[in-house]
Amino acid sequence: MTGTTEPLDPLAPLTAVDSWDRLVSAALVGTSRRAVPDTPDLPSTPAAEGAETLLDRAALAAVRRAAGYTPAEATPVAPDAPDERPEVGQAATRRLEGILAGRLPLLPEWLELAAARGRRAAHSSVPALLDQGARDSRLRPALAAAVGGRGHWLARFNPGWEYMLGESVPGDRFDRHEWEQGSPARRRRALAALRTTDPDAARELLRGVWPDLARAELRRRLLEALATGLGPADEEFLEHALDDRGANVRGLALSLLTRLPDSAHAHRLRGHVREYASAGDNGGLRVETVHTRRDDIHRDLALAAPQQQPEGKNERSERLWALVTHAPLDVWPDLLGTGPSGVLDAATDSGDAELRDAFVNAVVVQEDTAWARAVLEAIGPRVSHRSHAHTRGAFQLEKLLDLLPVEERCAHVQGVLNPGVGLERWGEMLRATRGPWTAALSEQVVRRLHRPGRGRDSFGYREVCEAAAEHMPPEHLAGLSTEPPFDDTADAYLRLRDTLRFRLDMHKEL
Amino acid sequence: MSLSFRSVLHVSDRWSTDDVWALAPDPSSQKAAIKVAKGGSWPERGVVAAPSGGASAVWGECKGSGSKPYLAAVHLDGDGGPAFKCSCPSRKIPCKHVLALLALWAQDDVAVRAEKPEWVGSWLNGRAARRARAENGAPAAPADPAKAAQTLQKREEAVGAGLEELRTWLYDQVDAGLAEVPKQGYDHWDRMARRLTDAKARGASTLVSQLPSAARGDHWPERVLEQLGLLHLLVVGHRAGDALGERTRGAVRARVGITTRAEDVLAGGERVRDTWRVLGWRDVATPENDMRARRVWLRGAGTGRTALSLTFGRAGEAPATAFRVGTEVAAEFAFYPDGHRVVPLGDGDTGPAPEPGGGTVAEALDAFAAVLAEDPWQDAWPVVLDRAAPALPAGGGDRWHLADPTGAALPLASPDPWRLLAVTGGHPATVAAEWSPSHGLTPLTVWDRNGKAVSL
Repeated sequence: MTGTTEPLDPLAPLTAVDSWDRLVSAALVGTSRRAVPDTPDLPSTPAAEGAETLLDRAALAAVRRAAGYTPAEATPVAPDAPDERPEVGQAATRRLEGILAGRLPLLPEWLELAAARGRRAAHSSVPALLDQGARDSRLRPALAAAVGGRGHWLARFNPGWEYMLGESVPGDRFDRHEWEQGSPARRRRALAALRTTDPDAARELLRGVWPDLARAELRRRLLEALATGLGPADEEFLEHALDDRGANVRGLALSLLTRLPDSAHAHRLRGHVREYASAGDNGGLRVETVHTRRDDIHRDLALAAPQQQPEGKNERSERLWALVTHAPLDVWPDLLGTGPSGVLDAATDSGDAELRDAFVNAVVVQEDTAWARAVLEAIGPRVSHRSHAHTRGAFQLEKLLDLLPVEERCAHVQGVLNPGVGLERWGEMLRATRGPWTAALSEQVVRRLHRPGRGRDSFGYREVCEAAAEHMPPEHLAGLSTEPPFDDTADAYLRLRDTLRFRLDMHKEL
Repeated sequence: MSLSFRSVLHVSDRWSTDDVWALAPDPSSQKAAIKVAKGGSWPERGVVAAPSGGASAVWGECKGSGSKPYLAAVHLDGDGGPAFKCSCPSRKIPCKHVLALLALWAQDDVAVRAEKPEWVGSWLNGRAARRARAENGAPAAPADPAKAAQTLQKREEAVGAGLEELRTWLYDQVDAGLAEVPKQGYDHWDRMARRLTDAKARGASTLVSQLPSAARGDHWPERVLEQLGLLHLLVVGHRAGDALGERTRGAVRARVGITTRAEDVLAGGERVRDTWRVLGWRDVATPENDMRARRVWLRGAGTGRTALSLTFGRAGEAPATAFRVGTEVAAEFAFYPDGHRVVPLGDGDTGPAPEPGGGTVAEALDAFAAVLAEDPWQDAWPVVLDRAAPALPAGGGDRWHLADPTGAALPLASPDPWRLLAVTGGHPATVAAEWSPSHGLTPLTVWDRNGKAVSL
């Protein structure tokens, strides 16, 4: 154990306080100006004078105090309930320490493997894991499962870990006391627990306290719990939340409503689309400028009413973006008399790059697999960062691919990455393709890494190495020769082999 | 904690290639090494296994352009980090051959071999011998005993003269009064500290150079007077010489900075054979230089004797030690004159150990008081508490304590003892800790519900 320590208050356990105080006062003034005080409560010291006597007595008092330390009285904290899940093995615990110290990108995989085996992290790993969750909120659900009840227990003692108290773990039960008296995070966790067993009761509980929740942030966090078990019965309450004072609350209500395609809200959005959009003369999609005075549209899109007149371009495009993002995608094929691909083509033909990006965003937000296929087909092997129009597309590539089942995802990528496609695009595509990759895709990548005549694109080659290190099942290490195929990228290649071997061991240990 | 990845793992664990490249003196070395890092260039290569498993050294013979191969080797688990050797004329350390060899090893392309060439054996033996000599910073035993005795005599006289000056200096401070102490520049203390270093009393010198840090913060007058008093006690103790008991004299000499050589301890120190249970370890910065010391505390199962093993490593490197928490070793130890620090004789038989027997807070404080009777300067002593639970002060406050079943508690040195809390979950457990009345309790090891020892 290393670390800094705070000195204890030196007077805390002191006996014979009076003598010691007198010695200190004399020492401050100096024995040339003040006589050494008598210390009747200390044993006698050798006969001497002035400074010597004072130092003798000071040493005696110091040693006596160290030897006569009086214990404090302290109350043990309430212990936690035992976690019955088995702990991961010692090798896996050591591996986790290595990951936390220098290979953080592998942490999600470790957590996933442990969870899949029904194991929890060693209790000694809990503080370091809680620290990671404090830095990266995306890890929190997986971390909550790994640290289990011990992690929740420990988080109570450190304000930096407060977030964990709001994380649900499987098997959570509703605790009325937590709901009524707990911190915001704990109230949210209690509500989420009830939501998994009785969604209607949970919503009514929230509705009951809603008017009394003064802070918008608290309303938002509790409203988040409705994401679990969301259904048509929640529609009315969410409509109500669309009128909330807090913009974040309205935004959250909108994103929850977007997941209810048969709601009155969804029908209203379809109506807005039909009102403003149509097929243009050239076959492109035409969307008229959405009126600024339409309060109903602003409300349905959780947007603030425009402040200045005339409004700028940004406000107009924001309104269009929000409408396309949240209107159910099924309205477009009806309107244009074509399928998803046809709609995307029409959006492209409109000449408005932003409109097309809004469709991509809608597909990601609405998590629509059929539309994701259409978008991915349309993107094809084009390098996405050539023009501004596609930057948002590159950002969304991973999310689009995530919408496909892993087999289909890998097959799609395999089809796109034919030998004529440059390495840079390989790297970009593969980085967005979450694993575990299929054997066919993995073998295709391994062949590509060894293929002679790689050209001068060492950047792309490195990207491919990094993508494979993260997503390829580690068994494919066997297919990679021990000697790097190219000297100038040998470091990236060897790091890939390293990471795969590290992951291979990790899979064996868990 | 800002430890690098390497120092977290045991030194002899396999490295990653990034660890290898981190050693490269410049980017061109790495490029050159990658060209040489091919199995075909190294017809002879092997790993020397470490006794604890893992690798102790890696060696190889690299085909060059000339007729003779280049002989490259790396000693991985030596004191003070890895050491390199290569017969090539390059002045870079490590050279490309060493880097290439390590890269091959990191790629799992160098196997353990029982036999090793003569040049590897003699290099490693030479290093082991130097390490044994260097263990206490003392030179090899000189050939002429009369001259050695004379040197020793001179040294004792120098130390005595230095401490007499310290005594006068201490009286001057107290006569003049301590009120101005916080305003003194470092120079004020450094002059005395340097004088003591010149007088070969490095320990006393360090104690003086720590005074300015005591002169800061709340209660500085108490802390400064306490330390001046204890320094004075040290001067008095040194002058008393043989009139003191052997252990107290040993403690005085060690604190003044008069080193006792490991050879002398092995030759003449008290020997105790026992089954030594590892209580725990802790790394501390050494004040003299940029080194880290690892304190391993052990307790004899039969004798109840406390033993301290000290090893050193460069900053950023974990000091090597043979003792692991949760084990015990049947061995003979030779004790330094202070009666605590030991030199192990041979490796001994190591096996898993049960939980050490612990006691109450009162018993721990009694044991510490008994230690102070022999060594009044002692400020870190191992205690084992039975059924100790993390606790908060009865009267309020957020300083963590460890409480025994009677409710008596000792404050923890660290404000955030999270690992201890995480392992116990608030349940009572056996805890081995270092006790310091000035800093508090520093837990070293906790035994979890299944009796497994966890280092903190």
